[in-house]
Amino acid sequence: MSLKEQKTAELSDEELIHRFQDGDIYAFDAIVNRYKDQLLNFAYRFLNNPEEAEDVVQETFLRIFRNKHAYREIAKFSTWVYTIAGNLAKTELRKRKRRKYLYLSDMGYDDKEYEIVDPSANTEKEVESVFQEKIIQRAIDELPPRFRQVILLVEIQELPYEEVSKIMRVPLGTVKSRVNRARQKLQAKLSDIMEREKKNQTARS
Amino acid sequence: MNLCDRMKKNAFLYHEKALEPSMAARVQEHLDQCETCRNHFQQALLLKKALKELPRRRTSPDFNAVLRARLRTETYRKPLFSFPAGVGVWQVPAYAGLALIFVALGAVLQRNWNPSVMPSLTDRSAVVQTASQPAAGAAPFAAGRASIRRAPVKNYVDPGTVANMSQWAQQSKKRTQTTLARYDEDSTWQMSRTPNTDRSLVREVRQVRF
Ligand SMILES: [Zn+2]
Repeated sequence: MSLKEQKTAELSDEELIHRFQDGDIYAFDAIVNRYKDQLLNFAYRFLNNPEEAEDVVQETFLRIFRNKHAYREIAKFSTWVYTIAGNLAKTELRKRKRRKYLYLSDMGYDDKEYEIVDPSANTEKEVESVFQEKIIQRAIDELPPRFRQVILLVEIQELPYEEVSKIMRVPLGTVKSRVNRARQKLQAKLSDIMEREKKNQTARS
Repeated sequence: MNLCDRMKKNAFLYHEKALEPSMAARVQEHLDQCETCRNHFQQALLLKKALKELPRRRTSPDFNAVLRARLRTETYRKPLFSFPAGVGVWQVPAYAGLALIFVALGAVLQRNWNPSVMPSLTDRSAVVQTASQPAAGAAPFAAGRASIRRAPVKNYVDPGTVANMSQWAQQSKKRTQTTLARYDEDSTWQMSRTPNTDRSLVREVRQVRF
């Protein structure tokens, strides 16, 4: 770890963006390295497509770079970042829908046949976890965007309800009831998918 | 909605201990008697756990390099956005408007003072050209008009304003370049310092990745 990295590691997000606003480009560097992976995970789970997810995160940082002065310390920096990334992910989803509508032959990602077994996963436990990840991701894909967003922010990114309420611009109570409904929907979809899988398996054997 | 359905709605809140005590007691009582609901509640718990344990996806190794290339492209391609801090993009139309007012004022003054040489349409566009060129942005638009200019026309824009604006633009560009150069020398970005910073570089970097 370089001296500069050591210095920035101790700074809060808000201190970093403040420095970047003052022209310190290393602070931007630190912001990127601090946020890129968690944003990627969020965008990936939202879109279930690695290229689109990476584009969304790239665009998020470009916007932060361009609009650094738009950030005011009345909000947490992470709230601002997740708001930008969330909006971009939703836009990406709309674009994809439009593409699907225009080109009916173009198979969407959610229509893709899922490979249940990853050849790189060897042990039984790994196979099981890959299987589980794909099934869960498929269920997430079937959620409407606002349910998808809330469940990712709360259950996967593990942000506090108060912050999710600010990111989604809905009252705290709405976040709580929405996340509860999203979980129920997810659970229902999962058991549907499991049922279908079971039927397919018995039909094949 | 039967009793079981009503109970199932509480599964996650029950696990989070977010239910009213009286409701929690009723749920507990029901669970003791109903195997279907017990299974459902168990499933909810597993789902919560599975969500937490989903593998964390990470950015590709060249993420920073791609971002770097994009930022460079942007910095060089959009001089309009590189006004120094404190001069927002929103102010540019204001300055352009100010320039136009001077131009109009100039035209009016010229007509009033010397009605016999009132400028023709082409002359007036030439005024716009000289006025807006240093103010950034309007130059390509005005360049076409410049070719049809016939007589040299006096510049009615306050020279101080124009000088300030182009100075700002230059200083800002210089500052950005210096910062970027310094940044390249000592930074965690894994990017070569080639001046080739256009779209093709972004494409190159992308091709490596996919
Ligand atoms: Zn029951």
